[in-house]
Amino acid sequence: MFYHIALEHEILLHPRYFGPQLLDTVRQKLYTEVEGTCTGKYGFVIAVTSINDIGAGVIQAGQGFVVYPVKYKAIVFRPFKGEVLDAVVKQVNKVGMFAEIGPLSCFISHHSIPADMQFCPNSNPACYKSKDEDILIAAEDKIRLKIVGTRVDATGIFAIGTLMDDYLGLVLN
Amino acid sequence: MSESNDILSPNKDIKIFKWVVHEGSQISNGSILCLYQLDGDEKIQRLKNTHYGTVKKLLHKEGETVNKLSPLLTYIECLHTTIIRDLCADCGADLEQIDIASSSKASVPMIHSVPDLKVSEELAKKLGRADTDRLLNDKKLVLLVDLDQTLIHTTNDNVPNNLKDVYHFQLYGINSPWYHTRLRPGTLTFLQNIDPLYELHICTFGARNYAHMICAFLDENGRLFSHRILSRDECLNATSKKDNLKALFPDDCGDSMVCIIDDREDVWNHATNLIQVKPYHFFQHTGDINAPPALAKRELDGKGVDFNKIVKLQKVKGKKKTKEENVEEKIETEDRKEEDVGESSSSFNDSDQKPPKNDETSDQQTEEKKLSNEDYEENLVEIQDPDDYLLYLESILKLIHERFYDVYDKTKNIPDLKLLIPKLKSEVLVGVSIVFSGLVPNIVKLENSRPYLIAKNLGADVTEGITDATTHLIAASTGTQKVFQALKNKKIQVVTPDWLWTCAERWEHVDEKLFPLSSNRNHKMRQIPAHCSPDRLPEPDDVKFNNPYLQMSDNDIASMEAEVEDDESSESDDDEKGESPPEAERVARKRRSSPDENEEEVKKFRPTIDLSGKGDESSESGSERESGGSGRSSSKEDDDDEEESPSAKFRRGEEISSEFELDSNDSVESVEQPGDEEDDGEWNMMGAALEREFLGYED
Repeated sequence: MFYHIALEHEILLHPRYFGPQLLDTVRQKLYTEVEGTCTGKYGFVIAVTSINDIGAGVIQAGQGFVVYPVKYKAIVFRPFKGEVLDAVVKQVNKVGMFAEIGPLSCFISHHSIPADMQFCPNSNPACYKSKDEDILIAAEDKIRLKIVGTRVDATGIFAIGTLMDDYLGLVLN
Repeated sequence: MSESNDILSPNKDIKIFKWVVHEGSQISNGSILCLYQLDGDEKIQRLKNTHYGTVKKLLHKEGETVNKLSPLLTYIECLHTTIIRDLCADCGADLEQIDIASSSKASVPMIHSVPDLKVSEELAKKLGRADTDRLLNDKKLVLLVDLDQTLIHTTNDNVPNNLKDVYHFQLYGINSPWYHTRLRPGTLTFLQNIDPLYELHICTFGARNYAHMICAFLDENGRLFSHRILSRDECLNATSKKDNLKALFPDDCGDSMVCIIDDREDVWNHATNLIQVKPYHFFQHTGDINAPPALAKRELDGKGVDFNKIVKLQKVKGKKKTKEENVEEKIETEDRKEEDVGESSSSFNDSDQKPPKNDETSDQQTEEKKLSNEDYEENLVEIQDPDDYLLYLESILKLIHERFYDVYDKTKNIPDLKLLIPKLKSEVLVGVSIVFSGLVPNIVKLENSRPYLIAKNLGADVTEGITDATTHLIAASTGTQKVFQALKNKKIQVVTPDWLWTCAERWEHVDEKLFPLSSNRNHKMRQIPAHCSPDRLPEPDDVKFNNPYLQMSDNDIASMEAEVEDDESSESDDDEKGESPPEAERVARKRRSSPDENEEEVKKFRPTIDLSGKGDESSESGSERESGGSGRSSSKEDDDDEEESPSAKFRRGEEISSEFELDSNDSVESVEQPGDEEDDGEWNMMGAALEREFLGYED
């Protein structure tokens, strides 16, 4: 799920940036340091939308570096159990398939793929095929899946998905 | 998922208002099963569940009243057979939080590239069986392919960026080191031809992104290898690839369809379904850059030194560039280079080495000049690489495949490649009865010697002395009693040990005519047994060799190589003494002696130089190689001059002095001379490489 939330971040700035462009540098640094990262609590920081406040910088004793507390708003992506999402299949193998939902990678076990879909290692590329061959899921296909579990740690999120529910599976467009 | 259990109703009579789950839906801890009402209460409550599994049957309809603690529904408990990052991939349960006992069943990492993904043994076997059936249906076998030194050779040294068929890449962003990879000649055709017969897997000790990068070179659209890439990141054991085999092919007879090609036998624990490939060297200074740390040292010994020679040649060449080009000198370098190539890549075969000695000086001169001029204009330099081992390997693999399915079609039993491959190999020299002369030291028992084991593996019969049945005498030198005895008997072919090595390498009965024993190669042949003796192998471990290429400069490496070489030559001398001390000492002295002394020897040998057809070919290739190398900068050589260690200087000094001599001499004669001199010393290293190559047959 996507959220637009207020977050805080501390920017450590080298004294060489002290000058008229200082605040611009802080802003720039915030974008590079924050966008694309992942925290267990808020999920993936997709984009910084606005920088609300750059606090007073505190010079670090003995170093000369300055720490700026920055308050900003960002769009974050936090996957939840039970959430239904669209994903792109990345790898198909005999144990299941790997898919990516933007920055989130997700695994779908072959137990969680409808039983009428069979793994076909011989077709190129390897794929899951339904018996009458009208549905075929291979790498780079778009699928809709439901998240049944997530592994959230300090640096990333990994999800387990399933296709065993109504309206899940290959997305045709 | 097999156990079927009931979920009981709460400790009160309830009326089911609405089912949230249906048959077949997955349930997990915290998910809602149904909405219910207590008797006489309108308030709707939610019934939560604490189990993981799949709903099998709902036992009550909506609106029904259920007695307290009676079954509400049956479900199949999830056994967590597929686990990824401690999450059950079937039900999404976090196995870190629930009891470990039930989660420990999944232990087999079945997918090459994702070691985190594990399945239970039972499931692995099921999947493995499906794989086996599929392979049999497709009439395929499994081929595990090693990368480094089998199909490719990679270096992180500086190489010119204009070599043809050399790929350059960085793995870790823009400031990371560059790697340069050369595909073994014929690799792409080899893979294309072998693909219909074998399911190809990559099994390498390279890092994951390295393996994937190389795979992209070998297989642009992912058709051959797909995702079947096993790299160091996924290896279960730092020094052996064997452990992964069980995981990849869990079926009982799964690994009986697996064939392995690798340049090292030790990483597979000397598996019998391994076809040991002649290591491919292209870049000097570099052994296997992805060798496991504990084994890296030995790698360096043979191969590093092997390369050192090419380096020397290039240095010599570079020097000449700076000193104005002297055509004769250039030819001399070229000749040496050819020899080098001949030795390191074409089967250590004397007849291959000799051709460059053909007296085509005048032709070469003109050709040489032309090439060196073109060299500056042409951007892409093509290097002729005489390595043709993959052709032999391809036919070996085809033979194995054919034989496997012959047996399978007849018996419908799956033959075990672990037995079939040694059997096929033992048919190579069937009917041949071999006697060794001067190959096995007296103190070593024949049955324990490496040549004996190699010959036996090929199916030959080996006897102590010449008998009526003897067909071949493999002699390291002329003049032994056995040689005289054999020469009298027309039936017995007298060949050099290279004949045996070549047969072992190509799995075919090589024509004996290519390996005639002649008296003047006496000193070279003597050195082979020294390197093939097993006691020379375990060498004292030297910490600084463990990962030398990462921190050391070129100069460091050069001096290091020099040390290794000195070390090795002295060691091999010692070994030789075991058999015939005076001879060995003479050889050793000669090896270090000045060129003047050697010249006599060389002149003596010259008349017997083999003028077989290969001569023209390789001299041509040599000149092309020459042009390839001549683009190298000369500034680096100057640096080396200043900072090189004394031992390296010494070795090079030898060469330089010999070159100076050249100018005053008859060109043809002198061209040979340094080549031969180098050749002599190099046999040493060659032997070391050879030894490792055949190492497996011993153990």
